[in-house]
Amino acid sequence: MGDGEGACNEAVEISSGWGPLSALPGDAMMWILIISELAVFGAALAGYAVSRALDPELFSASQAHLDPFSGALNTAILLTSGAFAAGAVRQARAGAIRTTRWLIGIAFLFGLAFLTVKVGEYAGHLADGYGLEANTFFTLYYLVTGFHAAHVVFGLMILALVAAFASEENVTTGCAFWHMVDLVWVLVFAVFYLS
Amino acid sequence: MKYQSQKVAAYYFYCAMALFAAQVTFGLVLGYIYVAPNFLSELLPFNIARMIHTNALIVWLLLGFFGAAYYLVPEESETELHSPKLAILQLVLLMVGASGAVVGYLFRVHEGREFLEQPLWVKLGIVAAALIFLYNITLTVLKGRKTAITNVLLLGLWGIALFFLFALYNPANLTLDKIYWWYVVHIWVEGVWELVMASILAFMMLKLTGVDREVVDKWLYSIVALALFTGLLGTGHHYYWIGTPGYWQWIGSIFSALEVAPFFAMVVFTFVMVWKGRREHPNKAALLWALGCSTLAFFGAGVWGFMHTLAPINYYTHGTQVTAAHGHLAFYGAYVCLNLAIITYAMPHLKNRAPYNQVLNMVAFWLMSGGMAFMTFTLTFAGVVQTHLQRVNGEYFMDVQDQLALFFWMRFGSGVAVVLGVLLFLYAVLMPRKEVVTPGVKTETVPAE
Amino acid sequence: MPHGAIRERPLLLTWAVLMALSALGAFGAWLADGGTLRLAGLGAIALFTLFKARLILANYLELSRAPGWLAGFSVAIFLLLAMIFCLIALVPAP
Ligand code: HEM
Ligand code: HEM
Ligand SMILES: [Fe+2]
Repeated sequence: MGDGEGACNEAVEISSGWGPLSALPGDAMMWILIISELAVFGAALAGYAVSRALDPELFSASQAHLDPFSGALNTAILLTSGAFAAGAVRQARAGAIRTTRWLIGIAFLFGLAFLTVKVGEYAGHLADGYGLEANTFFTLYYLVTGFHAAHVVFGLMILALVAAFASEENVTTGCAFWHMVDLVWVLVFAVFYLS
Repeated sequence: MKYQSQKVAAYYFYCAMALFAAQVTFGLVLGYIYVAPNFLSELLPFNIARMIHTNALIVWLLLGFFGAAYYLVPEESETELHSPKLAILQLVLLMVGASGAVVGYLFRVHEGREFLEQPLWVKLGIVAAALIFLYNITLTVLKGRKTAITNVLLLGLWGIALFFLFALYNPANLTLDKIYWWYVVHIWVEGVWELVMASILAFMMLKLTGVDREVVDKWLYSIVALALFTGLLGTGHHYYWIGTPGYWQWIGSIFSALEVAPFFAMVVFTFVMVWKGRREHPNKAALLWALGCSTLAFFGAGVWGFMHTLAPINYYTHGTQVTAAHGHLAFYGAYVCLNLAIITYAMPHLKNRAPYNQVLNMVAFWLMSGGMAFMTFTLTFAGVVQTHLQRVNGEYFMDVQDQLALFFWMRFGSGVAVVLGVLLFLYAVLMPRKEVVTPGVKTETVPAE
Repeated sequence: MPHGAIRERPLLLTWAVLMALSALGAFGAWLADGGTLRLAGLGAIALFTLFKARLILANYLELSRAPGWLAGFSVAIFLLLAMIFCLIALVPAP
């Protein structure tokens, strides 16, 4: 390709101009964001693993302050929210706008529930005197879960937006962001709460 | 040149090139002072010459951006500039401010923050010039065709003006002072300037390779998204040791490590466009500068930046010659090459000629780039040795500097090569000849590292 | 369905499996908390997490239609989890 003379010789392969990204559902720009976010959280979790290896004592002592039940509850909440969002995408594709909006609404409520649990956890840690700068573990804990929670907030705004403008493309794109938030939480939960 | 008002770009380019010559000359003086510390110590102390070197750099790069905008916006928007007269007024304002600042420096009139040493009246003049510019260029864009290239360029230029406002705010608290200082210095070169860089490169790829605009646009948006996503919070890599809370070490390390991505994307973008392009554009020198720009920016900003961006490494290398090595290659690769690329591309159009002095221009590219690359290597070695002696072994700063003399001599030598390259470039661009490279001759386009 | 695509599972089933894997993960955490089965517990957490990630990618994000991308994301997440859990396994808490 590219050495030809015809003006339309590239029309087939790159009709959208997005190359391989066009195989992904929804807007390609959203996927650039999703990949970037995964890189950021991946780097942070890798940094966590290295820091923990350098000071296992501190990490396990601090980790004991987290409540695995809250983490598990939030996992269930977020994954359930994700199921409704995924359902919304399928309904949007089928052209059922009303159902789409209802499903997004339910996904939204579960998102709020997640934040409520998370805020409750933060309040508990702060009351125990463990803030952002208590030690390396808590710095990472607040940064990673806080950054994730900020994405939940942002994701809720996106959900509200695509419920209002519920075209198939919009719903697919908005829900893709929401699923990224799910995916990241699953990893964060495993690393911070379970191990 | 399709629109008469594009002509104003030429005046910006002339002024930019004059300041470029001054900048590297003062660089050479600085390099000499490093090896012969008493040189001009009464007349032109090191700190004054350094201010002129760095300020001239920033000003000529900005003049180049303004010129590039005045050249490409009419062509993209398919309309004449809103007002060429205002553009000239803006240039006069900037040149008066710049010369005023230099004269002031020579008489020791300056403020204290590196890169932002200009007295208040010059800073206000810069703001006024920026307002005139934004008014002029925004109205032009609004009345004409809107393209991804002009959108991104405009976003970048508005960002430049907006973040410059932090230069006017200088809190007494040293930590806060530094925090806001980096809002200008870092967010410029690793944020909004990158948008300008991506859009000018996109314009050149469109013109030089003939690839579909649709494809270029997608690349442009992706690069911009990556640059802003990583670059804004990447500011944290300057907040490690200035009295800010420890969590900045994590934020800065993670986001700035990913700053490599937009620079890498620009390399892939330019090379894929050239590879896919079906146009054999006669201006080979412009293409060489454009490819050199993305490649050397990737090395200077991406690789040399990454080298010292993680907090545990920066703990040792902070403020050593490693920083100077990175600063030189990053500025050169990303923004010097970018400006020389658009100048090389635009000057023949502005003068209404076929591309001229191509070979000379390409020789200038290799001489300048070779010199900068060598300078970067010597400074990197110097920096590594310095880090070891000073930060690990705990020797005194000045004792260590003495032991680095050999590197500083080599830096001076590579500086001479750079200055010769600059003179050659100016000759090639300013002195038209009839000689033209015949299309179809394949030239080497991959800068060897 | 595009050539080579992975079968898309019904959402309810996906959701139920995700819940089950989360519960099993909690069991793994109980094992991993010291004792002789620590490594087995850590392995279980890592494995179940990888499965969960894959289910989200394939069925929520619908990458079952873009198998190349699904494989790419899966490999990246596998490598990340492998690195993290190997480090945790190698350096036990006292
Ligand atoms: C286009 C080419 C050049 C660019 C883009 C450039 C850029 C810069 C920048 C950004 C700084 C500030 C560095 C920092 O804060 O770490 C600087 C300082 C300096 N430059 Fe250049 N420069 C160029 C050419 C030269 C040349 C040819 C020389 C001659 C040897 C030179 C010698 C120096 C010296 C000695 C300093 C002061 C370093 C210090 O304070 O330790 N530069 N230059
Ligand atoms: C074109 C883009 C870039 C330019 C022009 C540039 C230029 C500079 C300059 C001039 C300095 C010295 C500032 C001072 O006076 O203290 C600097 C510092 C620094 N840059 Fe860049 N840079 C660029 C991109 C990057 C990237 C992408 C990274 C990271 C991946 C990076 C990492 C750093 C770090 C960590 C420092 C601080 C060094 C220290 O602690 O002394 N830079 N940069
Ligand atoms: Fe920076």
